[in-house]
Amino acid sequence: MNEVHEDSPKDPQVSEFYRKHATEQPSTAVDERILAAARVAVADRTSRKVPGWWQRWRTPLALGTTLVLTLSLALLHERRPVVLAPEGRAASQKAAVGRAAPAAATSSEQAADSRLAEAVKRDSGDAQPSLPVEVLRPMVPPSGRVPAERIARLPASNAVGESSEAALPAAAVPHNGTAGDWSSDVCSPDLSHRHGGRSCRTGCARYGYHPPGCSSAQAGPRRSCGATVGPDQVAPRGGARGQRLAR
Amino acid sequence: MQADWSDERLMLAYGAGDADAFAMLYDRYRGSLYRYLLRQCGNPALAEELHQDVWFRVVNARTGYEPLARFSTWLFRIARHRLIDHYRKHAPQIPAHSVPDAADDDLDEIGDLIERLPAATHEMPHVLYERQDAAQRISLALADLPPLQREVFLLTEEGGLTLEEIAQATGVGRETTKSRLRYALGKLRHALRDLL
Repeated sequence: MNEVHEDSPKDPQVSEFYRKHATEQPSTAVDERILAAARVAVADRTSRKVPGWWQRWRTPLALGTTLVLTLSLALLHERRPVVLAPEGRAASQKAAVGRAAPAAATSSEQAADSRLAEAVKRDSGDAQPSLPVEVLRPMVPPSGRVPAERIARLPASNAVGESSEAALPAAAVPHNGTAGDWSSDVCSPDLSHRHGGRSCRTGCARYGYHPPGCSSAQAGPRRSCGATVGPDQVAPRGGARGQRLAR
Repeated sequence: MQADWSDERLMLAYGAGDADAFAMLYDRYRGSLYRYLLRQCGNPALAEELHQDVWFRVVNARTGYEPLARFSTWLFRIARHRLIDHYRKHAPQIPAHSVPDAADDDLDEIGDLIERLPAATHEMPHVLYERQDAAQRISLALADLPPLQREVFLLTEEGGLTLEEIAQATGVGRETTKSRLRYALGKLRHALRDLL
């Protein structure tokens, strides 16, 4: 590779004379700078630290841990058993029946009421006094007539695969969920328990029902409230002024 | 043991991290490269600066070096390009349209460009002629050569390049290179005839 072709122009005397007298050299300072730069360039490369095992594996480990946690949480959430209170089961059954056959709700209302009364009697036991079917009817609204806005305000259920309405416990089902409901948010059985046997004017007046132990039961509805109150004559909430307007 | 290694092997060893290989390689070409630059630019200080730049480029190109050609060919080609860059930067009197693009390898234009550059004052023939020793006579004779002929002569003598390698490095044909070398040798013989 280094050999010169024969046809290359040659002048050995000129070449020898040139090589003999051309002896210029770069200065020592330049040599030192160049060699130092060359060493530094190589030293930088060799002194570069090799990343440790933690630097190499931390990203895959983080991704794997995140994946495992996500899968574990998803599996645990799916396998959590659905725990419903006995009241909830009764309400779920009621709601399911209502969804399945809204048209047949009227015809089967009697049977559902009887079943519901039996379920309440079974769940409450002997300590609770039994309630008539007429009393239970306003506690549980007719199926399919609960406003959607009220259902939306209710907390989500743990049940998977059922609607939130069906999974609600009995205490969470609104007692007065009909569209034309004129009653208050407090039902009469609640007031009867709260007053502990005393006269509960609101419950007596609005529902015409006196729970056992209510003092107004003996007096009758007119004596307690002074007038029979209907849905179109209900006094607005506002105390004495509202009652005067109602009269 | 590295003294027996070829230039290309030394350069590859340096690219792999062997600093001693570079020191040996530098020792082989430091004088010839410096003289090539000195004869071409005519200024010792500038020649040292260019010499340093060329070797820095070699250092920076260590990882990408591939022995596709001889190391000397590669080295002197870098030096030649560095010289051209220097000429372009420090030749304000040359019209801009006459300076070719960097990618343009039409080196006849570059040769014309180099040819029009003024020589250094201390390298003027009438200055050097006052010195009568042989080294200065050689410098005088080389300075009196046309730049393209001087370049071919220096690449042959200092770099040890063949006609093909010079032709490849300068971007001209082999016969053109051969012709330039023939003219350069003839003029040098004529200028140094009393010393030969």
